[in-house]
Formats: sequence, C-alpha cells, structure tokens
Amino acid sequence: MRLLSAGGKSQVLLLVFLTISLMFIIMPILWVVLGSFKTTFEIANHPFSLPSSWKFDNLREAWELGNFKTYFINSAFITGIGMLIVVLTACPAGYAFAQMSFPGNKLLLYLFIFGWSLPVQAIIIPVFFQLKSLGLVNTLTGITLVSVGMALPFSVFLMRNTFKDVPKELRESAYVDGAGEWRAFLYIMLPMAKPGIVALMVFTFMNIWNDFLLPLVLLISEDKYTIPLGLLSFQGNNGANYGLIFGGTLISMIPSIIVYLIFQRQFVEGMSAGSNK
Amino acid sequence: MNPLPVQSAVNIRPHLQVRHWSRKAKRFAVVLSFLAPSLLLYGLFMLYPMFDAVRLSLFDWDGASPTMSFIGLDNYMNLLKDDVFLQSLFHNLVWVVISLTLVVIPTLVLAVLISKVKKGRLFFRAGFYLPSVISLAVVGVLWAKIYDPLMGPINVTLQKAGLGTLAHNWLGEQWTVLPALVIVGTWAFYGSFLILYLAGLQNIDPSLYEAAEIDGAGPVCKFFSITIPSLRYTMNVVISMVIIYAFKGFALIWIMTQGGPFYKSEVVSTYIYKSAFGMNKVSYATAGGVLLAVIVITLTILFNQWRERRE
Amino acid sequence: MLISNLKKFVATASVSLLLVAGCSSPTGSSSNAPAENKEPAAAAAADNKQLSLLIPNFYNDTEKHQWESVVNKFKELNPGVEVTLSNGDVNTESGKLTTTLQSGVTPPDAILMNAGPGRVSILSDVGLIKPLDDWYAKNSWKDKLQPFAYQMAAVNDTIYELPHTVDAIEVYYNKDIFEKYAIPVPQTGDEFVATMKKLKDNGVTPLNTAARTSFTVGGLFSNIMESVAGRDAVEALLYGEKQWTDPEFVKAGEMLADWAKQGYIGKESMSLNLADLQLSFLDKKVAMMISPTHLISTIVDKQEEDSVGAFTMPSFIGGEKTDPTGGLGYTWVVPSKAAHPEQAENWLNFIVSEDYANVVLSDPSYNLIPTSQAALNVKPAGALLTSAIQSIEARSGYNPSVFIGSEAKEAYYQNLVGLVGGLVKPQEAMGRIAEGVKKDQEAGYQLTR
Repeated sequence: MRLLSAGGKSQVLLLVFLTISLMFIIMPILWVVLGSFKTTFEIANHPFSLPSSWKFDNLREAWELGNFKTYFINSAFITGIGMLIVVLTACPAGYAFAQMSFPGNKLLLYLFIFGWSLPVQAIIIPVFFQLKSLGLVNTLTGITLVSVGMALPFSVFLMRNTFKDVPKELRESAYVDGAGEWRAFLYIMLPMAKPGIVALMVFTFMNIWNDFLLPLVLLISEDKYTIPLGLLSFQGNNGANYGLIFGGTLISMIPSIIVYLIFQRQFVEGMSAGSNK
Repeated sequence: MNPLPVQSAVNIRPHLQVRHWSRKAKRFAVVLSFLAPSLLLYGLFMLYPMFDAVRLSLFDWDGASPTMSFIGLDNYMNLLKDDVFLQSLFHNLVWVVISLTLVVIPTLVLAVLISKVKKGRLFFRAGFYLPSVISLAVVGVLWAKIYDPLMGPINVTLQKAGLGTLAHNWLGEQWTVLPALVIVGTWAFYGSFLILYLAGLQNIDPSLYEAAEIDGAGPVCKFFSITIPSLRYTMNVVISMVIIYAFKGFALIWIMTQGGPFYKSEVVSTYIYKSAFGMNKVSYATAGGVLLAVIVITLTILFNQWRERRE
Repeated sequence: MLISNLKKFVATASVSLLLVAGCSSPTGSSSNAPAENKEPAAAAAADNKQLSLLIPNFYNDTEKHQWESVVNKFKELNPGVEVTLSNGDVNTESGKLTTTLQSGVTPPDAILMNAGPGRVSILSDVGLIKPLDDWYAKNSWKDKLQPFAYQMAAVNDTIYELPHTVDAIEVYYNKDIFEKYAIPVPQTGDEFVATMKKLKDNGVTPLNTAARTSFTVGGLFSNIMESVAGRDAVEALLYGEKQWTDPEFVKAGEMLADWAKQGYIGKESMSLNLADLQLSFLDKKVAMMISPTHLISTIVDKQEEDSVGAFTMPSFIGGEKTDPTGGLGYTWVVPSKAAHPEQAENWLNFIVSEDYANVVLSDPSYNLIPTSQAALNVKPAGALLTSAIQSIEARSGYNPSVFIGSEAKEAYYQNLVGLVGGLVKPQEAMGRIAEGVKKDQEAGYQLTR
C-alpha cells in the first residue's frame, strides 16, 4: 500500500487513532444531524443509528414554527453591519498603533488591550441601562453598536499585529513619493494587510453571530431575536419534542459551520497571528 | 519583542517654532483621524459602562426608581458576606482547575499527534476544530440533551452496555454537575488552543529532534525534553486564556442548569444576571460584576508579569 | 428587508451618537423622556383598537386552540379590535419579564403571569405595573371574583393584579400502573408511603418532580406540608404566627428528603423541567406526579383521559382530612407603560365575564380553574377539571410559593431542590427559608389577616 511505504506502520496507527478520536469528538454534532431527521422515539432508543427514513419534517417545521427566518435575518444584519464597522474602524487604528509614532501610543494600546480582558458580564448591566436611556434596547442598531464596541479591543490588537508585519520601508517609500498618511495607508498598506483583514472578518463573524449574553439582555421581543436566542426560546416552547429541537439546532449551527469551512485557512492563520506576538 | 516605533520623517526636522507647532497640530489631527472612530465606539460601549459600573456599585438602586442612595462600599461588604456569592466564586476556581487539567496537556498531545500526520493534516485540524465554531447556545442545548438522564445517549449507552450503575443524572447531582459542565466548556473551546499549539509546533527547529534521536531519545522523552520547553510561550498563552474563560463562562451554564441544582453550579456571572434581572438587586449585582472584572484583570496582569519574569 | 434595516440603522446610529455626545450623563433622566414618550403617543394616535397580550408558553397544541377560541370570542364581542397574542417567559425568576418591562420598549397591554406576591411585587415595587384599584372600583371586580380569589389579590393596600385562575395541586397517577400492581388509592399517609414502597420494589419510579422548573417542587412540598403539618399550621406559618423552623415543618422537610433518599422520588427529577416531567409521566415511566390542573390539557392532548386519575395526598395526622393545596395560579397584570390600557381593561372585564367562562369550560380539554363568580354557574365539560373544582369548592390548602415574598420564595425553591438532591439538611433548609422570610419582613412584606 502507498500509505505503508510512505509513512510506515506508525503512520497508519496514528491515522486510525486520530480518526477514532475525531469520530468521538464530533459525535455530538453527528447525533444532532442524524437526530434532526428522526422522531423523538428514535432519538431516545437508537441514538446513533441512521434515521429510518430521511424526512425533512423536523427541519421544515422548525423553520416555519420557530421563526428561524426572522432570527436569521436579524443575525445576518447585526453580524454584517457589525463586521463592516469593525473593519472600518479597527484597520486605521491598528495601522496607527503599528506604524505611526505619537505620544501615548503605548498607553492607548494598553487601554485597548485592557478592554480585551474585561469580562462582558461586568459591564452588561450598565450597558443595558445606557441603551435604555438612548432608547436603543431591543433595537438591532443598539446591539450592533455594543457588539462592535466589545469586538474592538481584540480587532485593533489583531490589526496592529498585521500591520507590524508589513515592512516599514514600504511606508517610507510612499512618503518619499509625497503621499499623505491616509494615501499611504489606503493604497499601499491596506492591500498588504488583506489576509489579516479577512481573518478579522471571519473572527468578528464568529463572535457576533454566536454571541449569547448581549442578545439575551439587550433584545426583548421575539421579532428581534438572533439565532442563538431564538433557539433557546424555541426549545422552551417545544419542551420534550427532541426531533423538532434537533431540527432547530441543526438550522442554528449550519451557517457558522459553512463560514468556517470556507474561510478555514484565513481563520486559523489569523488566530495564530493574533496571539503569537 | 516590540521593535521601537518607526520614526517618521516628519518628526525629525523641526526648523521654526511656529512651523513646528502647526506641524504638530496637523500631525495630531492625522493620528486622531486614524484612531478616533475606534476610540469613540470602544469608549462609549466599554470604557464608559465600566466607569458607570463602578459608580452604580456604590449606590443602592433597584433599576427603576428615580432616586438612588449612596451607600459606599456596602454592596461589596455584603457580597463578601453572601454565601451564594462566595460559593459561586469557588465554583469558578474549581472550573479553572478542572479545565486546566483537561486542556493544557491533552490538547498538546493531540496537537503533536496531528503534526506528525504526513497526509491529511489539514483535514484533522479542521475536524478537531469544528466544535469551536458552534455557538455556545447550540452547544448548551445539545449537551443538555446528551446528559439527559433518561433519553441521553450517555446513559442509554451505559444501560445497553450493562453498566447502568455508572449512569448518573449528570446535570442533577452535586458532584457531577460542575465537571459535566466543564467538559462541555472544554469541548467547545479546546479547538482554539489546538490551533495555537499547532502554530507553535511549526516553529520548533526540527534539528533539535534530530539531535535527540541521535542520542537515542524515545518519543516520550522528546516530548518532555524538547516539545514542552520549546512551547513554553504558547503554553503560557493557553493557560492564561483557560483561566480567563473559566471566569467569563455564562452561556453554557445559563442554558444547561441556570446555576442549579441548589446553587451547585452557580458561578459569579449567573449569580450577577439573576440578582440584577430576577430580583431587582441591580447595584448589588453590578458590584459583583466589578469584583469579577477586578479578579480577571488582576489574574491577567499577574500572569503576564510572571511570564515576563520567567522569560 | 436588509436595505430598509440598513437605512434605519444609519439614521438611528447617527442620532444616538449625537445624543450621547450631547448629554453628559446617559443614565440621567433628561435623555430618557423623548425616546420613551414618543412611541405610545404615536401608536395611540394611529389606532386605539389594538390589544397585545403576553401569555405563558403553550405546553401543547390543545392549549393553543383553547386560546384561539378565547380570542375569537373576545373579537366577536369587541368587533374591530386586533388581538396579538405572544408567548413568553412569565416567571420573574428568569429575569426576562423584568427586562422586558424595564427596557422602555412598548410592553404588552396585559400579561398573564405566574401569581404570587413574591412575583408580582418584584414588578410593582419598582413601578413596572399599574395599580388596578380604579378599575376594580369602576367595574366592581370585587363582586365578580370569587371571594377567595379577591382576598388573595387584595393582600396589600393597593391591588396590582386580576386573578385568572386558582390552583388545586393534587397527586395525578397512572391508573394502569396502579391496577397492574393491584394498588388501591391510598387513604392515609402511611398507605401513601406504602404505595410508593411497593411501586419502588417492583422497579417502578413512584413519583417524579422537576427541579429545573422549581415551582413543581414547590407544589410537591405544599402537598407534603398539608399532609404532615395540616392546613391550619401552614396558614399560621404564612401569616407569620409560626416559624419555618418549627418541628412540624422540619418534619415535612425530612419527609421530602427521605422520599428522595429512598428513591421514591426519581433521581432524574433533578434535571427535569416541567415539559420533561409531564412527558415522563404520560409515557408511564413514573407512576405519579404532583401537579395543578394545567396538566389536564397535556393529558387530553395525549388522549390519556381515561388512564389518568387524581387524588389528594392523604394526611399523616391520624384521622384528618386534607385538601388540595393552592392559591392563585395565573394572574393578570397591566404594565404601567401599556399602550392601550383601555383595551386591557376591556379584556380583563371579558375574563371575569360569563361569556369567557362559557367558552373555556365548555371545552373538555380546558385545564384551569377560573376565578370568576360567573364560572360557578357553568358546568365544566371535562371530568378531571370538574372533580378538581369540586375538590376545592369548600376550601383549599396553601401552596406557599404563591403566598411568600421574593427572598423567601427564592430560598424556598433552592432549598427544596437541595432537599430532593440530598444537598442540604432539612433543619438547615428550613432555617434558610426562615432567613428569607426575615429579609422580606425587613423589606415590609408580611401577610396579615
């Protein structure tokens, strides 16, 4: 066999071991995927068997009964706009911290890093009352702005690291050509930081799309719910109907899995870059 | 590790005083134009609420009355006398200990194994990372069903294997509830650490291993004498992140147990949420949040200092 | 959809940023006023004939249909009124109800919530719901309610609620399981324990409760208190004339802990919620459960009317007779910022009317005991509900959950769950509930006769 000659016996053993471990790790996900095609009775009695028939009833019913369409639109709105604002604000800031010298550079950077370790739970109560006084509780605008504010510390830090990797000579040569700071940034530096920006977008997507605490506190009515919150209320409404709940669960996890599979490489690289500096 | 900030050409030659100042002002405006948007949003929705939290925590306020009375540090004093709060804090610490045990070394071993794969490394990396992309709400709903005492696959499998005596009511018993929750947390988070380890492993100089092999070192020996010391920095990052996550945990617990049974899985963040929005103890809960922030930030700073001193 | 959202976003975002920039203290009341007053006024101008209601989640489709017919009847009597029903969490315990009312978002016009001063006062203390004294006087609700229900609502100087249902908490049992092991309905406390033992010995879980829906455990314990301490003692306790640490209540606590220890209460109870509990009972995985009448709709939904029976937990005190425990079940409150209070008033008038009683009680699946005088004249169609109504006709026992204050209630639930899980000693548990009572008294809450 090819494999044997290439890696020897130990490679095969390793592959077998890793495959078994992987199966074990993703078993819960498998359980949901299979379960969303089964009846509650089948789920309880044959947890890992293939469904007796591949019916889409659970998925369809969950989508229709569970308002998942509304949740999906809300999630998409908050995440999309949030991502846009994060990129538009974190890139210049990251660039300034990485490449410009000005008094207080370090101090301001620390101020951002400080926010990175600040637990959201510690400020969620004031944030609720702050948004309330702005009339922004239960609005997509409000939660988007807060999500952006809370995503910024990490984002700025990530972009700073990205721009640190861009050779400073490039920027200086732009100066020699007489370009201003913004021109240099937009036309020379930004294109160089493209991989970092993609990573930032994927990160922000994951964080905002999957967030639970902010929607729980800041969104009140069902028509404003995001997918994670919607799933929870869907579960509450459907008690012991496992098949239906699994349908809703599957619907809820598909988008982030798809985004991950598409942008896997950028995501992994971004994460490695984000913490290895 | 931090190279000196780049000296820009503009700053070097100040000829005339006036010109110097106008240049400075212009420079300031340029820097500001880069920083202002992010500073504004960050300031509004993180820094300001943080100061507001400290302010609120010094008052007695129920969240709705038009007036609030100043009570100084009373909220903090009461928290330190509050059995449930102390118990929650203790559970956070238990969480730290269990998750450190579950994450730090096992994930490293997994990373080493994956890095040894010649063909399909990316496949395994992607597969093992998969749980981490799922939202915690989904993870919570899913695992609550897995732990279900009657219909959950764990107990069903145990019963079928004739090991019914090992079946527990995982989320309903005093000694199993917290470990059961930490396992879920580990499942949901270890992927990020795996990626960090994999990146770190790539940076190890292969000649180190070759030299060790010549000396006749086995795989276990190499792991302890080369891999772990070379990955010291990455391991530090992982450890500090595990600790921070352990204190920040909310979603999983809220969805799976709401802190029950009988406070046995109550952690600081669930207690804060309950007190603020379930019992109108808004300023009291805010004080709890401030304490949580102080703990997390102190730990982060201490850990960083300790790390820098060791390097 | 996205585009219009986007425009709104840009507009609101810029306005809000200006607002923040313009005022030094965003939590101050100055910026509060414009944002909050705008909506109700605008809505009222647009349309007066709207009514939005927040009601508990449906346990099954049967309940959904019940509500549909209720709403249809209301619309028939009030032509042109738009009724919006939404389901949600109506316990104050989870925090959602408080956040909803706190948020400044236009609240529903009326909310059907789990009753009890410990819950209602969480909302009324901070002015989130409206005093209803005027409406009581204007519509003479006092005379339209059954006296017991009215008294429960009028515990304080100000009335904030209109009682919707009263509870009758009893033991529901699977007849086929009892028949299979030739077990008769127990007549005394000792027989009840013997019944549980016999079931357990035969490998059947005798009794389940749902620790994750804590009021279920509260209901179970109310039955035990009635049976162990007796109705008069519980009454004295709730009126502050006895202490939770008194021997008879500690004994009730010991009994709950003992039943759990003996395995009479299923171990899985610790992680069940109400829906799971009902399912495990109707799937006959457990012989008995303690429940108010709202179980009936699920029984009907599963077509198990003939195989489920109910009895009152018998007394452990020689020769005494027990009553189902209860108090108010669900109750209506009106948010202070309701946009259409006049329609809410209309709706509440409908609730105490004979029309309403006719609609619900003629439905054999109906599962709640109405509080109106009018309902007394209507014969319910369902057999289980009929017998439950009869069982509390003379009087009912007390379910402490709906009588005690918020601190005591929190301690009551947590410690009962602790007892079922063997996590706390009975003496200690009762001590903690007593501490909760003390805190409530310090905050000014105490039932008076």
